[in-house]
Amino acid sequence: MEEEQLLVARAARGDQRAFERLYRAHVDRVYGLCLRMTRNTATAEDSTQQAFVQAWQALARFERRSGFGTWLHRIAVNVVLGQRRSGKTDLTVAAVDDADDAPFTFDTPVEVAEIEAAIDSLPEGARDVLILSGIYGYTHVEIAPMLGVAEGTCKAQLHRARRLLRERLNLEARRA
Amino acid sequence: MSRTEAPQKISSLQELQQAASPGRDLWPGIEARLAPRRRSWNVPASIAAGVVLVTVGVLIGLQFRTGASLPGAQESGALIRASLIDDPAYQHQRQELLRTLPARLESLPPESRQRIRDGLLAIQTAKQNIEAELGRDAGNVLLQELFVSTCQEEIRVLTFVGYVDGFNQEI
Repeated sequence: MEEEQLLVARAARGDQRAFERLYRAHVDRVYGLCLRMTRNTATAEDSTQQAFVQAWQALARFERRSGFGTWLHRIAVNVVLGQRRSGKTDLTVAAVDDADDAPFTFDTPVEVAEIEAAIDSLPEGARDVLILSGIYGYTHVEIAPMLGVAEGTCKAQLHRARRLLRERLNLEARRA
Repeated sequence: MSRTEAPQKISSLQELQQAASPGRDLWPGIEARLAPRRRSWNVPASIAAGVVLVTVGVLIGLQFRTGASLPGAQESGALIRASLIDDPAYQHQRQELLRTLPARLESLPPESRQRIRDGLLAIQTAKQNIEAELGRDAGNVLLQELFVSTCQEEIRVLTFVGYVDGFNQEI
């Protein structure tokens, strides 16, 4: 981690070689998130590149309150949302306060391919929150600014995502 | 012999893969879009480094002049070495520069780092050799000047490592 801080400091001073090392260390997690959010390899590659270019431009303003990886994720989410906005708008969901924050677990193990397909089929807004919360472990407090929505909206989207995922995986029937 | 693998099953979303490798290296495309950035702290840092250099340089110069003003060259040679090596202000500045050197070296590419290390090693070897010669011929003015300028050169290198653009190329 100390080495990463040194690399960040060097990159912030304009050292492209240090930035390349940061890129190599983080590209898979950034691309993974972009791929999950866009569901398209070409778009995910484009978003990843854009995210790193924006990170380079904003490095001097990186305040190190969060980890560098989290900061990169925030930028990547922003890039994906920006690309989406240029295409179409998202549906607004009414806020709820009683959404479940606990990790999404299954009573009976489910095949990865089946879950991936079910996640892919979710509406964008719900899928984004489920990915960031369920897979990457971010809290609503962190996710809300990433997605540019209110915390309540974030919770509502997660609630919706969980419900839809249960339906699509037919979890109730499996339990019975 | 090929065996059909059982489909992987998980019990929690957090078990899903967070990372994925892009099908191609994205770096060349990123690198092409990186605009060279000016170092925002370059000017103040250079000024700070310059102040340290001038301070230590003056200090060394004063020691030299004090020594040279003495009537006997033998005594002045011994005095220069003794005063430079023992002077607390000079030693403090040098130690401070040596203390922060590793972190500043870290900010440089490996090849520059190695060149600076080699340069500093050469300076230190030269200092030791000159000192040894002064031990045999303390009154040699040329050796005295050489010793002082080597000390100044060492301080110059120690001061500017990691601060000034293009300095690496000088060494």
